[in-house]
Amino acid sequence: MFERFTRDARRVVQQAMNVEATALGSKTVEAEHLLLALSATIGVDRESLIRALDAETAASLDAVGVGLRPPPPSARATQPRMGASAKIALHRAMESALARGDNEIRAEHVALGVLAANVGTVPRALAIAGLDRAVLAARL
Amino acid sequence: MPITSTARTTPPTPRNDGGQVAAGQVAAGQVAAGQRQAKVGNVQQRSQLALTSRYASTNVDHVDAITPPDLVPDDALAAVVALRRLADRVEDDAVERALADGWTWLRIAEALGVTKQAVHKKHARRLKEQ
Repeated sequence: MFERFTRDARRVVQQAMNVEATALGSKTVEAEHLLLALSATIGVDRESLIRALDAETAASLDAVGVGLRPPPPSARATQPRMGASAKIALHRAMESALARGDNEIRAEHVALGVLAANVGTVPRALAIAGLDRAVLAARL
Repeated sequence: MPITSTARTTPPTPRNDGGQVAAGQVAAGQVAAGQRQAKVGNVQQRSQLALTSRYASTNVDHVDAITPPDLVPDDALAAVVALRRLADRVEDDAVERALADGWTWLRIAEALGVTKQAVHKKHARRLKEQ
């Protein structure tokens, strides 16, 4: 699947897997972990993305009357596997490379793939942070 | 399950009254279910009833909370995702604490209501790598 990914794009996927998902104690790599790994590519600092994701979790739990928040992971997580939202994002990355007539999949294609989602954690978190997905995508 | 079916039939408008009725019906349903399991030892049965009714009342509260029509599908689905994430993290911590207290994998699995293989596969390697 990753044959046509450039070194940068592979680094993004690896960071999402080995740093972002692992640090959050997640058993799967999701689109939000790709987003965090892409902070430099989309030009939004990682800390504000983390705050936005935390705010999204808080808002979603509040909506059903749950005041409890996920505790920080205490033990090392296992190697996470690819989750559904990350797979969709990577599939869209390939589509956006094709649509632009590019032969290889670069980090910006992965960013376009992540930003293309209309539903899910990523668009909700970006909306909470006041970040317009279309504006972010247009810069790529 | 009586919890789900009762909660679903709870009318959304008179929320407080509906919640009370639902809680009563759920408790009654659980008692009946408890009686059907009369073969189970008395102590275990009593603690099971206590646990069930407590969770049943919590559930009804939550159903009340998610009933408002202003909770659009996007928010409702996102809540499910957030709850799963929360449950996973709570499970990680709970398993770690149980192991630290000397619980066996078999006992943890039974407490979680999953097989020993499932709990081992999910947590053993993670905790060994520490």
